[in-house]
Amino acid sequence: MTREGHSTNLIWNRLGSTTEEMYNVASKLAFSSSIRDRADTASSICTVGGEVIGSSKRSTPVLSGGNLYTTRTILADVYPPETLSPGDTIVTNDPWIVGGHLSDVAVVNPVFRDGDVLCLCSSIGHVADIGGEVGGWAIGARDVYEEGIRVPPVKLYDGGTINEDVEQFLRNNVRLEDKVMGDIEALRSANTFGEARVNEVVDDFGIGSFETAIEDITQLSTTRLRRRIAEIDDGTYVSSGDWTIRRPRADPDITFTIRLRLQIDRNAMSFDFTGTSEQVSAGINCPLGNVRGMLSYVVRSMVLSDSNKAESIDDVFQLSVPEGSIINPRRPAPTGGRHVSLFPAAYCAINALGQACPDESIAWPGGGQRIVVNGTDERGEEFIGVNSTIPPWPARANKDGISCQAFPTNVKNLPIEVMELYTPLLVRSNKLVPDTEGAGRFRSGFAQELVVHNPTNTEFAASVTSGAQNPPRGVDGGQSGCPAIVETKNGEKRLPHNGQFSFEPGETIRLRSASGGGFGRPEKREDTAIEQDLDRGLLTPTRAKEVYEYE
Amino acid sequence: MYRVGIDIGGTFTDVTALDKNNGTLVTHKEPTTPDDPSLGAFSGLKTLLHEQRVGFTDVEEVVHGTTLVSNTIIEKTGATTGLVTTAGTRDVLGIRRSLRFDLFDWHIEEPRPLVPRNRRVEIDERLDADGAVRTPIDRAEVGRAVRTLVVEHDVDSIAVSLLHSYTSSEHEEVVKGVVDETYPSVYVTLSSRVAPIIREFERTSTTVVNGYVLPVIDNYLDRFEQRLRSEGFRGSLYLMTSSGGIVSTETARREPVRLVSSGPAAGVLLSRKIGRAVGAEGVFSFDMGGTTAKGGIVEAGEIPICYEDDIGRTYRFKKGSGYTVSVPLIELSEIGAGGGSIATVDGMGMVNVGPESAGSRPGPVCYGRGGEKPTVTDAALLLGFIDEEGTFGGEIDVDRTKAEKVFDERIATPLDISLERAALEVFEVVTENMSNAFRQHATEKGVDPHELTMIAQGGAGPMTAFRVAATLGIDEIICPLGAGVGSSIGLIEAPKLYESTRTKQHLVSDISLKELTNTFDELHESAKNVLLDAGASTEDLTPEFVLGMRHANQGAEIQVALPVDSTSELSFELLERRFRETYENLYHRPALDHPVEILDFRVKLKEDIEGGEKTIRHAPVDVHRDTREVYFGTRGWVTADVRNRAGIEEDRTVGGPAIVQSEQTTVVVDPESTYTLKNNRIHVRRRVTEQ
Repeated sequence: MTREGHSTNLIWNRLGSTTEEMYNVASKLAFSSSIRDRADTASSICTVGGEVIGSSKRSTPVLSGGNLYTTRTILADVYPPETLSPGDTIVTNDPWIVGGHLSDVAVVNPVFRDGDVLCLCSSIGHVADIGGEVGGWAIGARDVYEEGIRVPPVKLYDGGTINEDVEQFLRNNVRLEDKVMGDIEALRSANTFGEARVNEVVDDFGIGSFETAIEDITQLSTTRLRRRIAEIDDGTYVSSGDWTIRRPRADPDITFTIRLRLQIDRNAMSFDFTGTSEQVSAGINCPLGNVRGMLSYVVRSMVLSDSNKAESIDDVFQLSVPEGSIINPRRPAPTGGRHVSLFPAAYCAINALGQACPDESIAWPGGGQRIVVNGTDERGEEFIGVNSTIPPWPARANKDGISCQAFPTNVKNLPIEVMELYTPLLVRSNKLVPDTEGAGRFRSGFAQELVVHNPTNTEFAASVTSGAQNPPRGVDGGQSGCPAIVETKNGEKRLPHNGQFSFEPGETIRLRSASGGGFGRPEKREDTAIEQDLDRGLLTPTRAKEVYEYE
Repeated sequence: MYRVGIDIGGTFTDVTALDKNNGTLVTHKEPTTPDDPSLGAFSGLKTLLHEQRVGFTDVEEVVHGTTLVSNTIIEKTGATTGLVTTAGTRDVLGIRRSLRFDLFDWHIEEPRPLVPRNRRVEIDERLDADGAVRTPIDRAEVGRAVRTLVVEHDVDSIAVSLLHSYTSSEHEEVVKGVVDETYPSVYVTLSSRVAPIIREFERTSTTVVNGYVLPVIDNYLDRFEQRLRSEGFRGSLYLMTSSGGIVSTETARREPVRLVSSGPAAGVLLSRKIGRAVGAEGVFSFDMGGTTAKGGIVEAGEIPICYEDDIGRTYRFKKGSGYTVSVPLIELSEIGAGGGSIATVDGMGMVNVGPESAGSRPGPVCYGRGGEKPTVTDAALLLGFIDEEGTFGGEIDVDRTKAEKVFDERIATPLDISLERAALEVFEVVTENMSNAFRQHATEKGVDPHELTMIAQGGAGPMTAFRVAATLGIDEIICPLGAGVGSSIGLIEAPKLYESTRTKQHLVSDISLKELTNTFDELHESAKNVLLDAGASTEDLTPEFVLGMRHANQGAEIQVALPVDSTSELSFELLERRFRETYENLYHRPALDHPVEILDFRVKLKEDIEGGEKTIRHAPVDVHRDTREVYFGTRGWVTADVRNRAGIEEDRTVGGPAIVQSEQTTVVVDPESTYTLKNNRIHVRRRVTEQ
């Protein structure tokens, strides 16, 4: 007799592999650069109960956690399994159900076997446009209605036939309608691919083993996490911070607080965000489902870092967030730039969990920066150039941070040569900035600086987002890193931290990402490590002496 | 006259000689000599020639495949290298493309740049995206930069990668001129020669890898060639590249980065050869060694090529964790699954296998070289797949008791299952992992695996193939006897091949037919020179013209092959049609109405030598027959017929369970299959299930 755990193991591997294939299908077919280049997409297989039983390991953490919430809500509140038929495709972008802002669209297909819904394939992606403000991450709206079209869970395909009313409704409410529908079709193709694969798995292993496996996967994941939590010292771990967002024009700065009490009691864990600021009338609120998904990623990475066999673990931890707060806003709060509050919530969770699991601890991360420049070049052609500076990882408990690695998202940078090929702009430099590290026994990576020049006689429109202006903090005696900067080369003109400005002929703009916090006291840093940074030209002798007490 | 293939692997150096007069092959295996691999290569060749009573003067061609390039990267034994680069870009190597290769592991490390930051010198020069000079290069400044690298940093090799050098090599050539003049003994690699492609990180990384390995390869080939010559060898020496072709030593010594994965490439060539011989439309080339398993596809005789990979992966063989190279490579899926892969049981009773491997040192437990962790090879032994007594040759004494003990302690007892079940679980997990990886690879190529014929190679390939095939729904497996020396046989079959490339962006609507033709003709000419250098004759060369195309501003370009023999046959109608066909084929959806652009031009030039079937001449061995208890799971322990090649009658189909054993390979035939010996190949076929 084959051991049950063995076939569960093999089926689990197969489902994981299937979601990787779904991910490939979606990213190959998508038009939006956020899916193709910025990896802003997630692929999963879920049970009828909404539990994730397979998910691509490349899914962006911002979205992957959302699959559970998404499928559960759709099945419980809108389309119970008995209302589904083979060939159905449900779409929704409701920020309170899917990815926290309207640009993230979930596409869900039921997988049928012998007339019953066996499981669901779910793909989420950031589409090319969703109406409302341009860009999909803007924070300027006063409510969610200004941010674009909201689609409640609805069948785009009914029994394999497209519902043209829904399609027309979508097409009429977005810019770039072909691209948007192309993105949705790409996500649907991933799901239909997944459906076929799941049926092959059932053919190979038998329906009995499959059903056992999908129950076991959740059970085993949960038990694994609970056992690991039981090994952590019981206690209450608190973490909090204030973040200030500078806004353009006459809009006042917004400062919000995230406050977290993490409680570990034997094999139970709870996150309590009581004391966190109330929702605001700028697009930086983050709906709860997104927060839950992100915490799930943080817990998985820090508590189960050595295991790839963990799926639905959300139910293991309790989450309480006051309703009406910035990370559990009531409708119709605007949520376009929801990462602005989501990431700090994640940072607090990382900080609190780090106190409980010292080896997994990292210092405070800093945010990245994005610039969009558009205009008409000298040949009369319109262009849009998007570029980013990417912050480094903060220092880790036993290691330095890595430079230019976004967290918790995953972003590929744009080569200078590609930027210059498609826009009239000139990139003067793209480099790491010495002395910007969050100092410590272990230091963060270095800030990245991008110097962009307008060599033409034409004025262009530029828009920049730099997130919060607070320096990311150090841990355990480590020093703070530095915040993001936007300025003109000679500093004569003040540029907004977040917002629009005109990029004038001959002007040169300097963008610098934040860095991250340091870990441990800088004077404890090993000499060889300091010498290496000195040798590499990333640390000046003056700073080595002043901060690290290195002679 | 003879053509000889020499393949240096991690553990063994394989030598194959082809007698061109009668098409027979003889093979030999020699332990690799890591300190100076040319020693083992040379002594292996000498032994084989001596055994065959062939003189060095009778050898017309030596085709050499070597892992020296990748080993130099993995072991960090390359030259002290410096980089000359454009002002503002010295951190390109450190910034990379920013992508995290593992989202859940927060302890990851990036590979350390082969040229540390202080050995990267910026010079104030600038080209625009169209190749126009924005800031002229100053020879005096270059002189100072070069002097700094040579005098202060003691570099032996200088890589040069300036912005937009893919449009014009002018500025880079100035740097080369200065180095050649002032420090003629220092090696120089120009990005405009090695990888004239857009995207500064990928180009710089490729250039640096080339510069880093250049002196090592140059010295090695020098020594090796001298040894051959001193024995009277008067023929030509060729090197195998990662794209499955061979080039002259001059080219190899200039662009060693093209050799990064020549070993696996040779294995795929052998698979193609066999596929052709048996008339298989599609082939799954499966190669499982001690540490990794590689899967490749051959469709209608064509081997898919990709233009970027990362080598010397530092993290669980994970894509993205190594050094990026943009050169033509045979496209393979690779995972950390081999005979030495280690099995563990986690806290929840799940068996995991790999990617950690016991490698060849300490190796599997049963080899008795100090291995303490259960491996795939140990599992195969406990299932009865491996010859324990050494009746069939082989040099390693097998320690079964020890393997049993370790499997019992680490797998069977924790899971509360029998020893054979424990071994079976390990075997099934590793074969499933390989099937999953290959299934993903095939999907990306738009191929359905179950339509393929599987060709199994490598030390562990023929032993695990039956189970991988069953999982993928493949009905036929072919195991070449002498599969253990597959790569060196593949070398014998390698054509002379070189590919020239250049990035030059144009909207299809903007480029003139003349410009298109001229660019291709220039590339054609430069590839031709490389192959003429390698002794090819013009009339045997067939070109292939390929464009990297995409919708303007789309994420990734696709490789569009243009089926013409000469550039005079090119037309815009053809470009348009081929773009649409390729796009639809790859993405399963029609191309759009958006404008289409060309990003790069490639000319692949190949000398086709269509050799006939070869016969391997084996040293005469005695017939061995035996039976052994083997465990396949479904039917409990069954008695399998075990015999060596000498004990098998040609063309007679026999039912499994059975094992065909030789010194180098173990072919396992499960109870659901039959096998037949044909032309030195074991064909394993799944029986048609009775309804």
